[in-house]
Amino acid sequence: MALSGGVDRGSHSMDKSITLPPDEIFRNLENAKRFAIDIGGSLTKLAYYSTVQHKVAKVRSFDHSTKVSVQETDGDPLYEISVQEEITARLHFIKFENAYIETCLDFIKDHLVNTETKVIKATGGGAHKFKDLIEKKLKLKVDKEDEMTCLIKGCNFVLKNIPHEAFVYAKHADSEFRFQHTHPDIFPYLLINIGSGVSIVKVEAEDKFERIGGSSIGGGTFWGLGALLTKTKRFDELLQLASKGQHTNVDMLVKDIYGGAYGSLGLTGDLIASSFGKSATTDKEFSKEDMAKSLLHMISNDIGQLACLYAKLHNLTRVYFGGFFIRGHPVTMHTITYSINFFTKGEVQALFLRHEGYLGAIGAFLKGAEEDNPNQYSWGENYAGSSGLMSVSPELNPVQRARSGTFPFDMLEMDRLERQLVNLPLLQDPTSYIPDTVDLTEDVLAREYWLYCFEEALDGVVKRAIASQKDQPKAVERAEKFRQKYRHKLQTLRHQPFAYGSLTVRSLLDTREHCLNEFNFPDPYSKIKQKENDMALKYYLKVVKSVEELSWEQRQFTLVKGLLAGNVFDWGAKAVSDVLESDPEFGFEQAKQQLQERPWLVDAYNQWIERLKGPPHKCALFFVDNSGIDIILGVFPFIRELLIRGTEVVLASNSGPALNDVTNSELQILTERIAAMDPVIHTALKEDRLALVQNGSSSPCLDLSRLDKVLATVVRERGTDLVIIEGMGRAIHTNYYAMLSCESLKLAVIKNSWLAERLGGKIFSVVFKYEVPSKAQG
Amino acid sequence: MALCGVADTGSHSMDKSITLPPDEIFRNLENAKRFAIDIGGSLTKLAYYSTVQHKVAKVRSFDHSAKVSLQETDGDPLYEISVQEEITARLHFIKFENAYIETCLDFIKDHLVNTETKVIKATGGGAHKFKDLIEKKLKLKVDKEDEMTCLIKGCNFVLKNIPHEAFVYAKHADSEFRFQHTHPDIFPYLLINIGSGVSIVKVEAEDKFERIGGSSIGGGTFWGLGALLTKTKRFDELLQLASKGQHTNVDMLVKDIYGGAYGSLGLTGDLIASSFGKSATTDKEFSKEDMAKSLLHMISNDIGQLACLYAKLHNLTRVYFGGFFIRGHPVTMHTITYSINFFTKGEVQALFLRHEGYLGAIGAFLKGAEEDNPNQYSWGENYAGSSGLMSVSPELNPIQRARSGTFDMLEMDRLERQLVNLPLLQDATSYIPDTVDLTEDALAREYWLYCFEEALDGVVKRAIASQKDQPEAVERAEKFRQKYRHKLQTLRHQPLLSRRRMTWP
Repeated sequence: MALSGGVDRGSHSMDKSITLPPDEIFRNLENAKRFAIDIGGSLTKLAYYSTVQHKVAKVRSFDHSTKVSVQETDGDPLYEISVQEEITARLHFIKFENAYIETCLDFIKDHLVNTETKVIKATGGGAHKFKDLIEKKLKLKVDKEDEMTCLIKGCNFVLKNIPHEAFVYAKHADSEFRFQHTHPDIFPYLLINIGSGVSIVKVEAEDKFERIGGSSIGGGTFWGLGALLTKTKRFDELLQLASKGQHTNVDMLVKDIYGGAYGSLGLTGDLIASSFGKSATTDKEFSKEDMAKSLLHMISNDIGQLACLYAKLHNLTRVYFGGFFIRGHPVTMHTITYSINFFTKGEVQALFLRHEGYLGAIGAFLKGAEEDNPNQYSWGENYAGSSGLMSVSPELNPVQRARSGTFPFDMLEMDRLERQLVNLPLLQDPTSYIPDTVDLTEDVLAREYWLYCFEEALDGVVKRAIASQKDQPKAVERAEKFRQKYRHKLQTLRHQPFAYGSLTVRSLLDTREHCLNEFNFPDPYSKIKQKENDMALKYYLKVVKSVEELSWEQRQFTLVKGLLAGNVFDWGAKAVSDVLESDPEFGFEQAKQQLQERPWLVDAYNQWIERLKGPPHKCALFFVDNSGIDIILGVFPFIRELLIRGTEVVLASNSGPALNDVTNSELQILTERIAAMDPVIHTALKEDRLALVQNGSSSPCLDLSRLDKVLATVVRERGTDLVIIEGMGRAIHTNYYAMLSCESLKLAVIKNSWLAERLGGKIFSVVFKYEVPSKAQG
Repeated sequence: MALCGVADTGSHSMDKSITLPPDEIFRNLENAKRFAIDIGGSLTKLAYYSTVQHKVAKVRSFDHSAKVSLQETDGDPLYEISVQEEITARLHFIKFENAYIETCLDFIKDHLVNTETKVIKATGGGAHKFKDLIEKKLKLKVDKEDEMTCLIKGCNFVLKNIPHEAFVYAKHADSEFRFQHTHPDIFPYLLINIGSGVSIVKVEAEDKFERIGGSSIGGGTFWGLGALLTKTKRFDELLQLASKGQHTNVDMLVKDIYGGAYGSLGLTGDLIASSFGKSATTDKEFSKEDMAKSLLHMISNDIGQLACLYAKLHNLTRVYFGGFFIRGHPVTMHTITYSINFFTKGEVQALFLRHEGYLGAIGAFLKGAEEDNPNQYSWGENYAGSSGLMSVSPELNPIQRARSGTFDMLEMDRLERQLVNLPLLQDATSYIPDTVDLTEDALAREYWLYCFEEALDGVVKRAIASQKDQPEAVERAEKFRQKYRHKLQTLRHQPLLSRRRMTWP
């Protein structure tokens, strides 16, 4: 049997002498409105809901209604940019040692402004012990919630909302942590919670779970027997002992009995026949380390076998492990993983959770927030405000722990996303879809290159951020804070690439965006985008006209080349931002000349042309990339041709800013302007054959499993049969291997010599990938 | 993982000063022709096949063919009676402590007449340790047999041939032992062998079995951890300690965490949440008894849960437990039974075997006797030559143990005819021949034991009268009286420990 309840160490000497760094933990406490607390045997986890005020760059069209011709708009910017305050919801979770609970409660009391809050939800074995203290300090009523219900609720939440929440642990592999991509459907699964005892819980749906089994041989047994055997009283120290021991000195192995393997039963000689079997009949003294190791193996193997039997009995393949026995301890993750592999012969993998320690607190919080329907929203992990995996693990990271002060705490922040996110309905197999092309946690060379690359680019980003807010207060100071935070994240990732799940170019880009937002640089490229859009619009008609004069074959090729040339303009790529900064006249024609001659690095152009000779597509979904020349002189002429062919077009752009990518609000204004000049676009808009949708993301990359719900609806309603993905971020760093159930075009110019080399080409190599799903797959 | 192998206690000081009572153990050794030996961690089990010369009363009809009418036979007896010698086959199994192994080998060597025997089948963890000694003493070649195969073969044999072999243990019931009637079809079943480790074996047919699971938390773990925690080195003493302890002083219960039951999960307050959970955070000293008890519960519960999961997974309802952890120990039979009841909510019963300790020896013997096709015959337990259940259990029966030494015996007669069910039985599996079970009906038991003792004098008289002209009839009748009275006394004192369902008549 088994419970999540932790044991109290009995050593909670309240440490009141510590002062908390207010801008680091308990952030946004002023607006906090819902609280929940989970008090375990040694750690307290606090959760609260708060709102964050953000600066957001908004674009607004000038009133051009009085002007008629394109020429008259010369000199005026196309739209105006204003920075506005926006309020978004954020969940905060903080974990700290029970010893600091009083200090923390005092701190919260002093900073809590909102007085509407009357109740704090509480769970965990220690909840009733600290009930009076909490009620006295915070003047909030403690409302106890069922421990197991909270645990499961929290588990469901992180599995649904945090990509790469679950991971497989492989001690001797190149990357210890192999993160699992989120499955769209997380149920059913098995949760093995190893607290003092073990609880085995089958979870079938959001509110349907059952404790199907358990065992009294759990973390408390390791701790209790370990303390009796070794006179070592601390759990962490026992694990340390165990990691140095040799179990074979204490355990009786198969070969100790049979002189070798017991072949006819399939038992190898090194298998443990009897835990502590040698101490039954030997009179010698056993070392503390050896006994601790033997005990660890005994308990891990036992739990592993039970887990695998219950998984088999209930036909479950996803088995997650949690509880204080596991939490952040590579030693126990290793032994549990080994045991599961042994007993299931590799059929079932032991899965662990990055935020396992927070599950109870998250669940208790969700119980209290049910009227806000938190499950109706999509949530995203905020990389800027969250600690990495194992940030407070003493064994793994003593340096960092020491650095963070005598008060080790760990944080998780989650932003409520404004739009609900779903799968692209055109994914061939949503369960096997992995957006990222290279997993940097596993590819050491690639990791080193990209970490270096992002660090190199940091100065430029800081400069750009300051330039974007010349007139704003403290821009330099904030930009400096941004630099420090992001550099620190990069350093953490260099040492612990697993800190935030799979490390990818996408996560590095997203982390940078989160950090920029954190210091109120919502859109450093807004003015550059504005300038580029203005400039490009002037050439639009010229480009369209020159294309119209060409023969059909020539025209198709020129349109594709235009798309590719447009894509050279990308501030996200260092090689290009260097050129653009030194030579602003770098023009569209020059860009075309930079492009690799055919045959391209990946060249399916001929197949594409053959396809175009056939019947028109019904509807094309185009994930666009950059502002300026890219969208205006590359994308629009291309989709114009599609529209003329009779294909409907849906342009999907970012909901929020990222680098110089065109945002949905910018694109709306641009499209209006182009429609005013170009009757083809005008008519298409009027007839609703050209539609603009937002993709739900603020990333330079693209996760086709987390897209705006409206986009998914539009795609379905219009019978989309062609998907076009443009740019390095969306078509190379992500989705290069994505399999769609309809035709797709993935095109990009490789503007990074390292990446180009890796793909077997040179800088400005062209990828033009045209894929048709095989008939068999429908 | 888990094996039947047992660890050596390292204290086999060969005791040669003991003289063996020749007419009590190693009976019929002169005609012994096949040997097998199973040497475990502390006990040796010897098996041999022998023939027994018996007097049999034969009846023969006179030749009445010349006479025609019924009247004419008046005055003549209908048939004549003659006593003849007959030879029947018998299997002998003897169990003794490893300490006596050399004495026993010497004794066997001295009494072994038959020289056809060239080989002794051997199994068990200790087999290779004593190989040289056996070969030197007996001049027989030691032929090792696979331990698990022997165990299963032996198990099949006793389940098939010994009625009431299996029993359910119920500590607080009127009769602690409830014997199961033999099912005609013994397969499939699950055998949980708790030696140093645990082996979980699924047996589907005579020669088809698979080790489907196991655990390293077994008897060796109880012994090893127990020795480290209590400084008590003997397994039996550890069990004694455990039977006196209070596990609640060491274990963390559900109510220790939640103040009571955890109702929504269906967990009662008294359930063990964490074995040894209290010793994790309390600085006080724990008593040896309490720690031993907590350890016993931990291991029994764990094995119980594993057994029940494997039974469910393989859809098996007959689960037998064996191995030295179980063997003759009511304490462990109780905790295992409790655990199985808890985890299967009574759906599966833990079954134990009366001759569990002999399985390996029986199997090894059968392996050597395959050419004799022992499985083609029916065999019957010879009550006269077999010890009762727990005859050597120190905790239960110190008096009897002192009396009989430490030898336990099983003898089985080969029956001349193969026995099967009456085809007209409505339900062969639920058929129980006996009307009253005296192990459960105390009043009836007392009456019948008294009744049989009262009748004994008459039976002795009748026996002597039947052989007036035979040699030593009075002497033999007196031996009979002693033996049977001793059996009746044993049954009076240990009706619940009796070796089988005790029935009337």
